[in-house]
Amino acid sequence: MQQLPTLTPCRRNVRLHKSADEAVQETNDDAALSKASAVRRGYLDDAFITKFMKKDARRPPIINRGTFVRTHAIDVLVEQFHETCRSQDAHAQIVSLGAGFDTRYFNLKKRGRSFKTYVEVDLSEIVERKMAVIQQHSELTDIIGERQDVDSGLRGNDYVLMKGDLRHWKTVAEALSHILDFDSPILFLSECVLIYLNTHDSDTIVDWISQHCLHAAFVLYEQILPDDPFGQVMIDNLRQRHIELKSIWTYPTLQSQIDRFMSREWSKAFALTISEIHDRVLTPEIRTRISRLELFDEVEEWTLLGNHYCVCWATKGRMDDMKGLQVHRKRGQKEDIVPFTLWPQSDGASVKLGSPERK
Amino acid sequence: MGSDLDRQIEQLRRCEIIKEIEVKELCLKAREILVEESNVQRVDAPVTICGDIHGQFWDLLELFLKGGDCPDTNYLFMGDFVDRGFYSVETFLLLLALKVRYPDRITLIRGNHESRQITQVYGFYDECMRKYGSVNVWRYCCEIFDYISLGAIIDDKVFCVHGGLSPSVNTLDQIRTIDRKQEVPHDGPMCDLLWSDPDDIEGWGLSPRGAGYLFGKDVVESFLHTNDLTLIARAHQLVMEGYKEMFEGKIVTVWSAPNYCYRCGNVAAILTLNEKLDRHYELFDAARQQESRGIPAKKPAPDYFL
Amino acid sequence: MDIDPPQTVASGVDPNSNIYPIAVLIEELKHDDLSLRLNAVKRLDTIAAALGPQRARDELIPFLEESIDDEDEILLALAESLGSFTDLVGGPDHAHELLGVLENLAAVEETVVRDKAVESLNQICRVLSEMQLMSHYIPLVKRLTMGDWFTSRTSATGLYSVVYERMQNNTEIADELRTMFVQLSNDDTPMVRRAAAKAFAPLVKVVGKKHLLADLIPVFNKLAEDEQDSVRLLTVEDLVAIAQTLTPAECKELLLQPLRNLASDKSWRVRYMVALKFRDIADAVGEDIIKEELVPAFVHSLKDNEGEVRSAASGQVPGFCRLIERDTILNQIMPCVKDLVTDTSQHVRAALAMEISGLAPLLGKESTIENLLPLFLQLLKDEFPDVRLNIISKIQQVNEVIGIELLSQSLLPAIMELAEDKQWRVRLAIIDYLPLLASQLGMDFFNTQLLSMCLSWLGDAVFSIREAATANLKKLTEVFGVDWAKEAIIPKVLEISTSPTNYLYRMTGINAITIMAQAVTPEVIKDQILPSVRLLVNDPIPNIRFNVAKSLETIAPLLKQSPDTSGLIESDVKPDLIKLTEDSDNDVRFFAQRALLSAQ
Repeated sequence: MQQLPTLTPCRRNVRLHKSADEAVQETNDDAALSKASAVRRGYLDDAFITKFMKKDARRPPIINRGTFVRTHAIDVLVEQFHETCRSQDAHAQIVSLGAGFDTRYFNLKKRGRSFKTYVEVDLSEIVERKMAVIQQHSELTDIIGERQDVDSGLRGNDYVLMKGDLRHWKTVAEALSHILDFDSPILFLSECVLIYLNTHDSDTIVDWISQHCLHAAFVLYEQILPDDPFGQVMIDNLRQRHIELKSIWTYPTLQSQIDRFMSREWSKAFALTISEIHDRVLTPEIRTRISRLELFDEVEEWTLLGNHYCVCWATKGRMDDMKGLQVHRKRGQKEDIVPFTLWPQSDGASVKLGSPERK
Repeated sequence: MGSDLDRQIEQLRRCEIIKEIEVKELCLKAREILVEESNVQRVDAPVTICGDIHGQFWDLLELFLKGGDCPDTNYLFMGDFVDRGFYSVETFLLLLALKVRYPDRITLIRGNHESRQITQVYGFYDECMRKYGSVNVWRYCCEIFDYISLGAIIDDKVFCVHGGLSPSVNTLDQIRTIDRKQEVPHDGPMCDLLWSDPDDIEGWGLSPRGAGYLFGKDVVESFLHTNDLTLIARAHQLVMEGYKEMFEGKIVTVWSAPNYCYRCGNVAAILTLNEKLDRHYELFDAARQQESRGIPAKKPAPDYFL
Repeated sequence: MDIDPPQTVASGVDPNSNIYPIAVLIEELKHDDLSLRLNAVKRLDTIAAALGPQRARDELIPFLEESIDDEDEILLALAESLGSFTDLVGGPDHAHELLGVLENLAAVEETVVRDKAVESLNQICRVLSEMQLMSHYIPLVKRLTMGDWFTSRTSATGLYSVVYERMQNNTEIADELRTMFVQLSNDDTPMVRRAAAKAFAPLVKVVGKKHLLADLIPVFNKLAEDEQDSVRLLTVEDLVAIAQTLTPAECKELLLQPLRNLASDKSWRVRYMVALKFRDIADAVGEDIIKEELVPAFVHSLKDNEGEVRSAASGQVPGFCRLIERDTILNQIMPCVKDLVTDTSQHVRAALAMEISGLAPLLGKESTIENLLPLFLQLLKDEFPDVRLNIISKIQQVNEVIGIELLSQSLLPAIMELAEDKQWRVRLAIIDYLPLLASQLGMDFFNTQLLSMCLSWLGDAVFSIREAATANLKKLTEVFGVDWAKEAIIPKVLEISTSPTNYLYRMTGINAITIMAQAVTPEVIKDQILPSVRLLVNDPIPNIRFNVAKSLETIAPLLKQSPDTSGLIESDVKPDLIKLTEDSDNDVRFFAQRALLSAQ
C-alpha cells in the first residue's frame, strides 16, 4: 500500500475511433435493452421489443423503474393526444424523432388505436436495422399491413419509417411536408434525442414545428441539471462513451425546458422530473405494483438519478385540450404504499407502528 | 498465521483474486473466528469506523491511504462490502483476510447486502461467476455472511450497526439473544437492524426499501437512554457529503464509497474515534486509478437512461 | 432461485475413462447454461486436439457453423480461438475449412466479434497457399465486400492489407482487390467508409508507390473530404502513412492541401486528431513543410477555440519543438504557451503543466529563467490541483537545466504555500521534493524556513502524509547529519510520541523514531531513542505496544554494531520484549515473539 499511483495527464479520455454518431446510435440499443429488461421483469407490457433485442436483457432495478416511469408517462400523454384527436374528430398524426427501435406504433395498433400517420425518423443505419427486424417477423408486418420498401425506408398505409439525419433538418422537413397534414393535429415525440444535437440544430427543429404546426403537442424526455455533482459525473461518464449531451447547457432546468416552448408561442408547457412523476403522478396502485416487482435497494440513488431526467410536454391550438400529467400528491408527502418485500409479509407477529415505549 | 495468508493479503491488495481453494480455506478460518464473536461485538476505542464499500476496491485502498493501514490503525467496517462495484470479490476477501490475520484489529459487521438474495440481484453473484466460473466462491462467502456480527459496541458507549434500530429491540441484550447464523430474514429484529433508516418522523414509519423501518429522534433518544449510550453510528444510506449527523449528533450516517456506483458524484468519509471517543471525520474522493483501470472495458457501466 | 451449478453429465462415456473430461466439455458446448457453453468454447482447442484433425473437420467445424446464433460472449470467444486453429484441423492444407465459420462471424452485429473474426481471418490468410487463396479466400473477400449488410462490408475492409501482400504478384487479382477497396471507400454507409479509412494506412504500406499514387491517393483525398467528421479524422493516420512512403517533394505536392484542410477542419474532433499527431506528421513530411506549414498550423492548434484541441496540442509542445529551431520556439511557440498558462480550461492547463518542463532543455538556461520560470510559478498557483501536481512532478527536468539553487529560491514561496495545500496528494508531492531542495538550500536556511513545516506534517490528518513525512526525516538526516537530527528533529519527534489524545500520532512518533534510528549513531540511539521507545511499552493502546515491539526489532541489530551499546540488548531490549510476549493482546504477543527471535 506504500506505492502511490503515478500521476496521469488530465486530458480527458477521448476515444476517437468510436465516432459520436456510432455512440449516439448505441444509445438506441441501450434504450431498447432497458425496455426489454423492464418488460421481462413485468414493469411494462410490450410484446414487440424482444423482437428487436435478442440479448438476455437484465438491467438493475433502478433502471427498470426509471424505464417504466418514463414509458408510462409518455404513454399517458400519447393516449391523451389520441383521445383529444378522437373527441375532435381530427386525424391523429405522430412524428417520433430519433425513434430508434421504439415499439410504440405497434403497441398502439395492437390496442386498437388508429392514426392517419405515424412517422419514425432516424439515421440510415438504424432504419436499415429496424427494417431488417420488421421483415423477419410476421407479427410486425401484419400490423403494418400493406407496405413497400423504398430508398428512404419503409412505407405502410399509416406507418412511415424514414431515414433522416436530424442535423440536416431541411431535408427531413422537406420529406415530412409530403407526409403530414398541417391542418390536423400532430404529436412530436423526442426521447433522449434533441439533447444530442447542438442547440442550433435542435432549435431549428423546434422552430420549424412551432411555425408549421397549428395544432400540435410536443413530448420531450431528456437529461437536466448538468452542474451538480451527480450531473458532472453523468456528463463525464457519458463523454467516456463518446456521448455528448450537446444542448443540456441551453436547457439545464425544468423551467428552461418550459421556456423552450413558451418562448416560441406554444400556449402551454409543463415539465416534471422522473422522480416527481414517480412520487406525485403515479397512482398509489401503480406505485405499489411496480415497487413489488423487484427488490429495490437504490433509494437515495433513485432520487438522484430521477432528478436528472425530465418529461416536458407542450401544446398549442386544439391540442390545448390535453389534460397533461396530473399531479396527485403533495411534494415531500410520505410514502403511502407498501413496497416490495422479497418475502411475503408475515402476519400476526407484525409490529405496531407508533412511538416507542419509554421506560 | 502462515505466510500463505500474508501472501494472499498482498495479492488481494494488488486487486488480484486468490484461488478458489484458498477462498475455501480462508472462509473456514474466518468462520472459526467469527463464530466466537458476539452478535454485538465489543470493540475498544480508538477505532476508525467505515460505512458501505460496495466492491469499490480502489476506493478502499484510498481509504487505507487516508486512514492508515491495518493493523496499525484499528478498523470497524459497518457492512455492505459487496455488490454494485466491480471488485466485490477482491474487496470482501481482502477485508476477510485481514480479519483472519488480525482479528483484534479489524471488526466486520453485517450489512443488508451480505445476503444470498440481495447479492443475486446486485452483482456479487454474477461477479463470482464471472471471475471463478462457478458458484462455489459465492457460496463460501454467503456462508461466512451468516457468521458476521450484527453490530458492535465501542467502549460501551457507541453502538454501531449497518441500518438502524428495530421496533422489536429495546436493549442490546435483546440483540445478543438473536440466533444470527442464518440468511437475513424477511422481517423481525435481525432484518430491521440491517435495513432501517433514521428519518425526521416521530416513532416508527414504513420504509421505502420494503424491509426494515424508518425511525425518529424519539426512538433514538429512547434507545440511547435505555442502553446508556452516547451515539449510534450506522451506514446504509448514501450521503453526498460522506457523513451526516442527525438528531443533535445522537446518530451519524457514515458512507465510505466515493462516487458511489461510479455515478453519484458524492464524497466519502470515515469516522475516527480516539481513545476519548472524540469524533474526527476524514473525507475522501474516488481513487485516481479508476481512470486507468477501474471500469472494465466490455461492460459500459454505469447505467443511465439513454 | 436455484443456485446449484448445472451439472453436466456425458452419458455413454465411462466416467473413469481418460476421455471423460473431454466428453463433458463437448456436452457443455451444447448446454443451455451460458457460462458452461462459454467455458467449453474457451477450451475449444482442447476439444479439437482430443478429437483429432479428421473429426475436428468433420464434426466440430460443422457444429460451430450451426452455433453462430449464440450470445455475443460465446461468439467472441469463438472468433478469437479459431485464428490459431490451423494445426488442430490438420495444418495449412486444411486451414481454408475454418473460413466458413469466420465469414459468418465477420458479418454479425456486434463489433468486437467482427473485429476478432477479421483478426483470425488475417491469421489464416497468412498460412494459405496461393491455390487456396484463389479458390477460397478471394471469393470470401468478394462476398463480404459485396454484402448487403453494412456489417460484412465493414469487416471486409480489414482483410485487404494482408491478402494484398500475399497476392501482389498476381497483377489481375491485385488490380481487382484495389478496385474493390476503392468501392468500399465510396460506400453509402458512413461506418463502412470509416472502416475503410482505418484499413487504409496498413494498405498503403503494401501496395507500392505506383498504385499508391494512381489508386489510393485519390481515395485518401475523397475520404479526407468526407461529409462525416468521424471519417475525416481517421484520415490523419492515413496521411502520416502516405507521407512516410513519399519523398518530401511529393509530400509537398500531394499532401499539403489535404493537410491544410484537416488542420483547419470545421469539426474540432478532426483538428484534435491533427493536434494529437503533430509530432508524427512532422517526422514524416520533412523540413520544408514543417517550416512553411506546420509551425503556423501548430500555433493555430494551440490557439484553437476548442479546449480538447488545445489540450492535445499542449501535449505535443516539447515533441514538436524538438524538430524546429530555437528562435522559432521563442518567437512563435512561446507566446502561445504563455497564453495557455492562463487558459480557461483546467484540462488544458493540466496538459500543459505535464509537458512544459520539456521545453527547458530546448531553450537552455538563460532563456528558461527568463521565459519559463514565470510560467512555472503561475502554474504552481493554479486553482486546479492537478495542474499543480503535474508541474511539480516534472520539475526535475528544469533542475537539470537551470540548477536547483535558482529554481528553489524562486519556487520557495510557492512551495511553502503548497505544503499546506488542501489536496493531500499535492502535499505528498512537495514532501517527496523536499530532500533535494534541502541539500541545495543548506542547513541554516532550511532550519529557519522549512523545518517547522516538515515537523507539522507528522501531525497531518492523512496517514499517507504522516508516513511520507516520517520517511522524509530520515532522508533529511542523511543530508544534514546526525548532529542536526539530534538537535533539530529528535526532541520534536519525542514530543509527538507522547501525544496523549490520539494513538495515531503516538504511532507516527514511534515510527519516526524508529526510522531515525537507522540514520543516527548507536550513541544517539542509546541516549535518546531507546529510552523513549521504552517509555511506550506500557501504552494503554495495543497498537502502540506492538509497534514498540516492531521498533525494538529494528533497533536491536543497530545496537549490536557498537560494543558500547550491544549490552543494552540483554539489559533493556529483551526484558521489554519478554514482557510484551506476555501481553493480553494477540498481535502484541505475535510481534514481540518475532522481535525476540531476531534479537537472539
